[in-house]
Amino acid sequence: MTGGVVAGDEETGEAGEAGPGSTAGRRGDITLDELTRPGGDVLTDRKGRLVVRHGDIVVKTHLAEEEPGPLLARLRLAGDRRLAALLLPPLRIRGGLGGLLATVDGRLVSAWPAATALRPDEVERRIEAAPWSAAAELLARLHTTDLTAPGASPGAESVPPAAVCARLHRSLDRLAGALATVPAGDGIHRLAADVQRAYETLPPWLGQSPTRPGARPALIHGDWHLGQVVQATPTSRPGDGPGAAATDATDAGWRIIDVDDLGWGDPAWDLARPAAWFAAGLLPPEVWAGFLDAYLAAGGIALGPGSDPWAALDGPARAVTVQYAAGALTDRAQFGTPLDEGARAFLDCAGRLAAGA
Amino acid sequence: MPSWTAPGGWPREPDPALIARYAATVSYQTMVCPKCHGAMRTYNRNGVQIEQCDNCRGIFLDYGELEALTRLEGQWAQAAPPPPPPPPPGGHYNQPAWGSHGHGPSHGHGYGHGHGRLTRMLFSS
Repeated sequence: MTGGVVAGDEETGEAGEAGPGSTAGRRGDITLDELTRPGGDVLTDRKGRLVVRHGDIVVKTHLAEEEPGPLLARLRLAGDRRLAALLLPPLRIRGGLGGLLATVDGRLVSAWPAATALRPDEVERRIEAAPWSAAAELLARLHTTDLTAPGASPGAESVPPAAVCARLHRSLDRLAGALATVPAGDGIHRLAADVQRAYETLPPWLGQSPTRPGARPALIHGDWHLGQVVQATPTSRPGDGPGAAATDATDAGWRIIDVDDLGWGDPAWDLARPAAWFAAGLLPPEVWAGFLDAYLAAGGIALGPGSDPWAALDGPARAVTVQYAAGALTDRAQFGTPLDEGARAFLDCAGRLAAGA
Repeated sequence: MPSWTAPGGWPREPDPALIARYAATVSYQTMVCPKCHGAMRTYNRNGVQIEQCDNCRGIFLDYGELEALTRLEGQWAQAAPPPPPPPPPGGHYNQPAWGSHGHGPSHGHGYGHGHGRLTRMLFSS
């Protein structure tokens, strides 16, 4: 199920295979020279983020508008020992901000151990064989992490809000910007009007706070999808120095990457994408059911006490559906990307939302 | 000459006389619309034969056919509504009201075959 050795947030399956030396452990901090060396394999260059792999290091250039404070808090969380079995930890950068963040040409840059991402073509061939249960368990354990517990590491007390609202607004802003360049007669404007109407049907709190009014917030990833699941190489796991025995024999090494949106919020946001895939008809019911069952079996709290999972999931899943539809139209307007079946599925859902479904 | 020709000469050559007789039968059955003189065609509606004009879409009913249709209508109104489909096992199998409900992109194709761009959606924000 796994293939290219990568760590990125999107389009990850296009990276090359692991070289024989790529699992060599690294010791010491990353230097600025290592961060800025030319070449490397571009893993992601989309929506203002750049992820490049150099051997066993992955260098991530964050969004231009990213603030160093919240990003540093998120990187510290990713390196928190209590989350070591869940999140891929960042590498330390010599002389960097908080030892984790460098500034290169005015942009914030972080460094990560290379890890093995899921391959879209393999998920395509056997969607049910993707590590749905392992991913559900990681999310459930993330959501039940108590960051107020004694022994919290420095920085853990300043958990930022998950960036889910900003992501929603950004998708609509990008669409509006892209549409400005499309002639008025283009049919895309009618589809965009549907997406805008669907957006206006969303409960207002979705765009204002990462958590439902009155609900207890949890630690959430904020941008979970299959591209965020990797298998860590043994040496990239903290505590596993070269030659050290595995600390957990049952640990298959699955980790979640990309903490740019990590923070407190409604854990339903982390199940919103699978929920939207299922609603749009991309995910078979048995895969969706298996994912939810594994999440609940691992103690996941996102669904609340009732028996209907949509009571909790509906709002975030609607929001994600609007984002997917807006993203497809933006790519069509900006790059001429055809509206394929996947895009149509979410545009159809957005149309039903706009019609009051 | 194919060796599988059946006794009695089947398949046989077209018989012009037979074709002429068939054509006569068809033309006998074709009514002319009393209103616009267009050709009328016979349809079967729940066992009732009705003639409809291909031109003006007008309908001609023979004696008793209107009564037959009225009777059918009454039976339809009295029939009990069909039972609702049984709920799927386990609440989380349900899609929300705004879902695809079987009309999604994977419907009829099976999942995970020839939908590479669909799978891509599972890997993107």
